[in-house]
Amino acid sequence: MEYRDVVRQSIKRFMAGETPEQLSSLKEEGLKYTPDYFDELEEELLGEKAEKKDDKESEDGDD
Amino acid sequence: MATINARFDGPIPGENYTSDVKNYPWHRPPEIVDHDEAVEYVLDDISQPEKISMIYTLLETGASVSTIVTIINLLNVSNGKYPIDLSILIAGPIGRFIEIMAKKNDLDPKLGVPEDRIFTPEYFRFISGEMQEDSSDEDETMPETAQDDSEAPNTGLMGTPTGSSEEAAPAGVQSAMLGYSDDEEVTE
Repeated sequence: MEYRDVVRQSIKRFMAGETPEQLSSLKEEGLKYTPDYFDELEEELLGEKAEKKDDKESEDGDD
Repeated sequence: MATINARFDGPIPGENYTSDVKNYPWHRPPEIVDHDEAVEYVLDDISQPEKISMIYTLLETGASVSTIVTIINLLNVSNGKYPIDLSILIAGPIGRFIEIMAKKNDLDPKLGVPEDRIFTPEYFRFISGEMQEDSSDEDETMPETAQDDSEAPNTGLMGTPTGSSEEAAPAGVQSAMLGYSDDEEVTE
């Protein structure tokens, strides 16, 4: 198995919401960059964008 | 003129101890060993306008997220930023971040991650090169097999043995092949 294959597997697992078990036990306060963190980030960034799109569409509709 | 045997044209045992072990950044302790710290470093690094625009360009040209993460990680490992095992652990967060940023910029990134595959005998045959992956439909393969059989020679030394009695040589010919003359016929 090559390095890029391992990277692919790592990304795939993370996208599926999995994190290495032992990794989270390294810190008492837990990891910051978890799948949930990025889900919230996505909602925050793409949610705002979706709202802007909706506003534009409604403005176009008013004209 | 004497030639150097290739087997002896290598380092002698222990030669590595004679060189400086701190020649390369990855020979020295990495700068970052903490997971969150490493992720934060990469996210800050790739968020710079010139770098993120390069990533968008790569995605537009068809590069997958996993390829970009591999490039970023190998670059940072070779610069001694973090160790290679930590780079595997942070590949997921970096890939996810790139995916989010790409979506934000109306890009549809390819993740480049392997899909779940059910390991069937056909799959292993494909891996071993016996068949093509797309030939899962048996209707397509069956006529080819039948055609191969029809084209196979059925006469001569390379002919397919059929086992039928019709093709067996007559008794006289067989006895001639065995070296018997007509006088000394084999009695059954």
